[in-house]
Amino acid sequence: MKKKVGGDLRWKLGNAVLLLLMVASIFAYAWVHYQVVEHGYRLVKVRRQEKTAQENHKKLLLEIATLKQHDRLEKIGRRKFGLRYPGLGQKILLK
Amino acid sequence: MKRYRQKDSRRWERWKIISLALVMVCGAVGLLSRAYYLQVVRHDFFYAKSLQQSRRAVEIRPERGEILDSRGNKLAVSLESESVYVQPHRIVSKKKAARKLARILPYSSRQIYRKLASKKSFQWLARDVLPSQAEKIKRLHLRGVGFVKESRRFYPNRELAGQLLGFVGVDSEGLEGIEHYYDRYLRGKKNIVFLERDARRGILDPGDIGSVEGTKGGTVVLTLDRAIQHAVEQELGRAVISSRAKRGLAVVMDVEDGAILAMSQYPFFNPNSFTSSKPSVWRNRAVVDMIEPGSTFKVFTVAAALEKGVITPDTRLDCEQGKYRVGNRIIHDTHKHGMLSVGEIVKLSSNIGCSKIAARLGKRDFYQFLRRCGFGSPTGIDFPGEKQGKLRDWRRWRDVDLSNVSFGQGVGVTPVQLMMAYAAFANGGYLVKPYLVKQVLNENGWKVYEHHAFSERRRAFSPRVSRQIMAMLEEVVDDDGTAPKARIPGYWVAGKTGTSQKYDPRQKRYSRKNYLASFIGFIPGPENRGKLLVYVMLDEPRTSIYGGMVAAPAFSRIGQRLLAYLNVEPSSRVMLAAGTKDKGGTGSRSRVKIVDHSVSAPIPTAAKKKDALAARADVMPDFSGRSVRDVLAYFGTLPGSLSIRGSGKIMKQKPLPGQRIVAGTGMEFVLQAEN
Repeated sequence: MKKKVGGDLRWKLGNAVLLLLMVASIFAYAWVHYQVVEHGYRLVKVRRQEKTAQENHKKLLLEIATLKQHDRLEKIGRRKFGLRYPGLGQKILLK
Repeated sequence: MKRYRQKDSRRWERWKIISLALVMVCGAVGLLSRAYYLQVVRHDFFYAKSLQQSRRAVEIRPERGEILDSRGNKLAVSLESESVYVQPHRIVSKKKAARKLARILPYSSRQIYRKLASKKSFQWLARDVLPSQAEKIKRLHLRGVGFVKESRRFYPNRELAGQLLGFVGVDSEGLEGIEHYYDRYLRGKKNIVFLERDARRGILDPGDIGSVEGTKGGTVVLTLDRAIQHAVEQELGRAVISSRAKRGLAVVMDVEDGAILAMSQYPFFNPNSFTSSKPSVWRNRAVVDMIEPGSTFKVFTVAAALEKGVITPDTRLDCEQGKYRVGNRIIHDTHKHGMLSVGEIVKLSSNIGCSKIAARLGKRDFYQFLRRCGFGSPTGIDFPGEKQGKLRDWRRWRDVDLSNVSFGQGVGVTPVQLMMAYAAFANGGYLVKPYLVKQVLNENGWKVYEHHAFSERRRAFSPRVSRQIMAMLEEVVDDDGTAPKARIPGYWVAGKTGTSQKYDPRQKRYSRKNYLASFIGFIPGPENRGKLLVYVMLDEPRTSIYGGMVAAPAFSRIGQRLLAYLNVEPSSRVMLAAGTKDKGGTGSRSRVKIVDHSVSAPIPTAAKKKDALAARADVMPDFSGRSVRDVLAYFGTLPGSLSIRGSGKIMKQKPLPGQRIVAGTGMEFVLQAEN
């Protein structure tokens, strides 16, 4: 009789553990799946940010190129600093 | 009875359980079989359907490649920008939406309302808006307002080399210029990316679902130099305005390999807003337009005759005092001349002299020589729409035609054709194909195209003829030549003027008031290059019709800017007179004198400099109170090392004044700012 009671309890415990494991794995699966989806969204966001950063970088390079326009620099040199092109013989080469 | 009832009830319960089990089993079987049908039997169909709903193929337009100058400066770049569109039928409160949008966009609410009230299903609201504006509009969450990403081409230097670069259309396709000619390299390949969407149609994962790999457009590197182009454009603009010409063009080319360093034309054109200019302004006339070269063509008559051996540079011809009959036409010279040598004919640009030389040469030989110089066929420059010029077959020439062609009338050439042929005079008689693109790099920086200049050159005439012609062209810029204004003080220069009447298609004869004034000439190049060929042409100048008066000064100014930029040393020297000093002893300004003016070599050699140094006093002068510039001007090339400390004027020096200088003597100067 004692044996039967002990075996019954073990069987029940075994089932409970199994059930717990199943529930845990379902939760784990759901959590992993959720994380995959979340990371997917995050990845999309980061890639968008990367693209925007790249575009901004290019825009800044374009701005540099625009600011380095010879016409613009020449006007600033002439008006602001009173510069002019050196005349013949004013430029001496160092070798 | 009771037992019977109990038995009956138990049976009934069993039946209930059995039937429930049966229902459940049937249900389970039904579900399983349906699942089997959907998952296995109809797998392909539903899989395709799910992909259709959850995946989205996005076609990403490749980024158009950049155009750079030879020093890596950006001349054309592409950027992504957002454009705003509206679907008017989806907008609920149009007035309210227009008010909100007007606060962000540079349009009035009335202008926006007009677009929102449109009966069209799609209407652009604003193209290429700023990222901040796009963000603000997105935050409004207006129904019926959407965004489209578009690629836009920018030309950061605006008008610089506008006609040469060309422009692209709305779909980023090259329509003109380099953008069109190298479109196959610049546009790249389309990229298709498959994205997974969630139920809200948001992008779930851009992971490895798959993509069709595209490639970014290649980078086109031009032979052009932005600084040279700028200098040329500035001087050309000045020349056109001061001569009150209709338009003008200027090109700079390396005579050794045919690289075009600058190609500009006035009126300028901004490819950022090409629609605001007339299509006639888009044309790169240096390549796509034919002109009558006029006197600049005379050297080819002389060169053909020298090559054939029918004349020598010393041959003298009677120029008939300015009037000479050929067939039924009388040919005139601008000035009356008697007997002239061949060199003088070129120098004074005599039509009659050239006409007589051509007559000695004969039609067939002259024609064949011109063909060998590349006239009558395209140069093959890498630019769309090149004209091949006009050179009729010699069998159709009358005597008067031979005479006309000899001084550049009745023959059509493009400016690049003329330059290619002229370059041969300075490179020993080789025709080199002019080119604009040095190389094309792919997105990884590997060369996918490179121009090989020397593999495509061919001989047009002998080195002897090229030397003889160059000697004649040097005389053209003499005081008694046609272009003394082309001279650049201190530098060797050679060239030829051109003044040609324009053909008037309305009157079907040459115009008496419309001329093309041109000058084509050589200047010394930097050490790593050969000579540079500069062509300046002014169309219908009003202050003077002569190339020597309007185009030659522009050539000279362009040459000065180029020589200074390219660090070409002058052939004559500005030298400080040894030991001279201002009387007050302040030494604030040095007295200088110019020597060596007539040296014809473009760059003095080291040996010459050494001789020059030896010829001067080999004793160290007193440089106190003077600048380092004065020291450098005095020595040209220093005998040894140079050490400078401080800034300002020279206070101490080593060797001391009066000490002997030998080759290898090191010099030390201590400078101090003047108070």
